[in-house]
Amino acid sequence: MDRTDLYPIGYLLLLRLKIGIRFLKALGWIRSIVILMMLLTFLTQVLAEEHAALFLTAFGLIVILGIHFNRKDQHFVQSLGVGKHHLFIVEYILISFLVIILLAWLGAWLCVFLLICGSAAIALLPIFDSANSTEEVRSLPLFLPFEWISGLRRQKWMPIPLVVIALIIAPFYLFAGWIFLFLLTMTVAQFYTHCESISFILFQQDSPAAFLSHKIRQGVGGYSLLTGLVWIKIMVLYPAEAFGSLLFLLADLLLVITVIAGKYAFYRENTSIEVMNGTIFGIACLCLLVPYLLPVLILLFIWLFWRAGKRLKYEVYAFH
Amino acid sequence: MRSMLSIEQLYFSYKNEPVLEALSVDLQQGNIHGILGPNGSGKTTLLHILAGRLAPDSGRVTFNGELLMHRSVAYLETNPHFYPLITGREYLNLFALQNPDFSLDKWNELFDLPLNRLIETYSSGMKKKLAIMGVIALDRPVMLLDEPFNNLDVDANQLISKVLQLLAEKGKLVLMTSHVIEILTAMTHYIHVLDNGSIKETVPPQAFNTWKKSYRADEIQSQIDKARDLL
Repeated sequence: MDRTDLYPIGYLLLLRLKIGIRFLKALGWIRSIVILMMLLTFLTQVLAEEHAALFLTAFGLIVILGIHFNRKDQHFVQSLGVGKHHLFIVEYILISFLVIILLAWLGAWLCVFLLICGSAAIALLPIFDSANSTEEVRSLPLFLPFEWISGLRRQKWMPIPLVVIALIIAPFYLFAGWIFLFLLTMTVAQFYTHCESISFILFQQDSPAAFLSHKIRQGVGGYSLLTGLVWIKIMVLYPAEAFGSLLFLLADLLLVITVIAGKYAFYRENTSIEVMNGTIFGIACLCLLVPYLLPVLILLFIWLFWRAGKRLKYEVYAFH
Repeated sequence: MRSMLSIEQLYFSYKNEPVLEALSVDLQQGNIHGILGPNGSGKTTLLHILAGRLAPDSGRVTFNGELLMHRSVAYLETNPHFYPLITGREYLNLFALQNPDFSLDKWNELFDLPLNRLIETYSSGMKKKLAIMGVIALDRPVMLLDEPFNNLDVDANQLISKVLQLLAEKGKLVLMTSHVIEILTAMTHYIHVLDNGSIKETVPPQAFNTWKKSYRADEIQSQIDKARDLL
């Protein structure tokens, strides 16, 4: 890294901090404090676990992988004349700084090393830009929601191998089957990151309530289609754990419909709401992982559904 | 002798679908060059290659006899990237770091943008003007502009045209794409026609008027006839 990179990298990092503070301001200080407290609760729960260090390392690397492959600024950074890999390495290590501190506090120095090296390695991975492909693609059935059609293509059909792996692994490890189902839920949540145009909403349903119900039914239907086989297999193979599996299924469905409600709660025509989508999903997951926060998730969903109805009523259906 | 951007025998394809084939052209510094072609003809692909975002399958691009480095290029995309929740001033400061002599406020007297507001609140025309300011701030010898006049109002159109002409007079090599002939004939020194993956002809300014009348005249007439039958 030479001096010509240092100043722009420093300025970009400072901008990131400003963006973060502005995002929290937009979220509201009360909500930000609530999220912080939930995060702290989650951390204390994790730290009490036996393999906390490994879990934190894996969590950190998954978050960084998710950030890296969803980046859209790699060309912009390059056009500024900044070494993009230098910037990414610094960013990812800074992002995982809190986790590094926790791992060091736990004395898990190998995990610290893995996290730092893993972050640097992820920064060097190529980010594929599929926007330039002129390849013809087969049209998908119309019963699939457009979010699913575009989401499946954007993620290069990754959910399908995940379903296959889950079906293969489930007979051996129940917990592994659940993890893959959660990964599928996370993947489906990412389908709902782009807000369609107003006219696209209007021709689907005549009222906000009908539209929201329609989208939730579509989402639940698509999710059931994608994961149904895995759930059935788990229930059949582990009848003793059927109640736990059913609860986990309901929790995942709640995650999906919370994200759908969240999309329209913060709807802005033709914009991407990846950050908000990720935040809502993250909060929802925290509520599920920390047992006594489950009512918070239900309240969150109710609030988002109410807000989505209001937003659609005043921003979409009011003038048309 | 003026510097030259030379593109030699450039080939590029997306998954075996050829886009650019044996594309060769020489572009002199101090001129505004236009690349004209229909939608999907490879204009943006060409600019991506020149900006270093795509690697050609084969061919060479040189500037002053040496391989073109991406640090010599300032690239304005059709849809510029903006980070969320940053102001226009913060965006331009990113570019101005590369060029401390760029006087942001003086340039903004021309562009008249609300630099202390978040970019999210800008109209599409304002965003385009902001991106153009950023490209100017980089102060690089080669400027690539992909459909620079999209979303601009009449005043902004005239301002940007004049600024680009002045930049060319100062020695910049400006290469812009458009699918609208009138934009290119109004302000470029040469129009390079991109067709079937290569530059089919280079039109000098004295031939603009006669060439404009005959450009794709048959294809356009055939499309008008089809539309008439459909309506």
